[in-house]
Amino acid sequence: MARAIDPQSLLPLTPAVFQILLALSDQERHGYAIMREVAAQTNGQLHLGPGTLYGCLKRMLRAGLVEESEERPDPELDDERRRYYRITDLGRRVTRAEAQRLEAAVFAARAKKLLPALKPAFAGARL
Amino acid sequence: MPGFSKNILPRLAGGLYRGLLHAYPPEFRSRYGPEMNQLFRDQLRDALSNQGLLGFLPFCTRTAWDLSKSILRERSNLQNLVGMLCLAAALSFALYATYVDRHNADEVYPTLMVVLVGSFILGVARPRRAWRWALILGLGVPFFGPLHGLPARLASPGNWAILAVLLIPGLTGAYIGSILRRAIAAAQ
Repeated sequence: MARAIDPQSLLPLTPAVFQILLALSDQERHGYAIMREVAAQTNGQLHLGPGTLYGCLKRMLRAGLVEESEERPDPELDDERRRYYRITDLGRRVTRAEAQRLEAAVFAARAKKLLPALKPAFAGARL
Repeated sequence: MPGFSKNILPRLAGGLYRGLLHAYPPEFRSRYGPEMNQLFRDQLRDALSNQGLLGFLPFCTRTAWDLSKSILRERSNLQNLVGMLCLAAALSFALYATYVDRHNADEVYPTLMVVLVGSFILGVARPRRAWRWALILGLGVPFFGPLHGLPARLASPGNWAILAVLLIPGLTGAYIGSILRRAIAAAQ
């Protein structure tokens, strides 16, 4: 039986790897779709080039964070066959652990007043 | 010139990009090259359709940066780093053997001992093709010899025949190290 990998041992993730995992967390995607989703998630701040994207995917495949799906055409694009990638169970756990780590960092930044405090959802509402 | 930006430019840029993919290691290129090429064409099409020819220059800059960064990353793996460190160590041992030879002009054994120990260490570190360590150390002593002005026994200028003498401890040390490393790996 394969030894269970502790997600914490793979942290911290690079921004590119974290964004790729986030892009794959809701559905499997091919390279171009991952690139577009990452650009959308980051409001265009992170543009993944082909070298960075496939270098990351190579290392993520090796670490067992993602796996390859079958090749098939994308109905929204041309009829070229594209290889799809999907997140694994380990990848999902690592993404969650990284998100919690980042959340703790944001919490610490709020406590130090580097970020504005969150307003309660119903603050000011008349009940 | 819609024909130029729709047909000619993508073809030229695509051909250039395919050529540049040869800078990646062969195994990486054969696995990811077609997908990278496909993604490059998709991104280029986006850049040209969104911003026209004006979008081409920033796209090229981004792609060049991405290429240079990722080629360096794929090429500089740990094995290459260990190989480079071993090569530097081999040259250092050769320099040290020359230094020892210079200061023991009437004794050859200290120099031979440095070659033996140096090639043994390198044989343990990189057991594949262990003969190369013997060759680097053996060639290094007569090569670095002319750098010194003092009389020397083995490293005297032009004393290339001594290579044969240095190869014996070099090959012995390197292959003992190599066999030891393989035996340890097999035992594990």
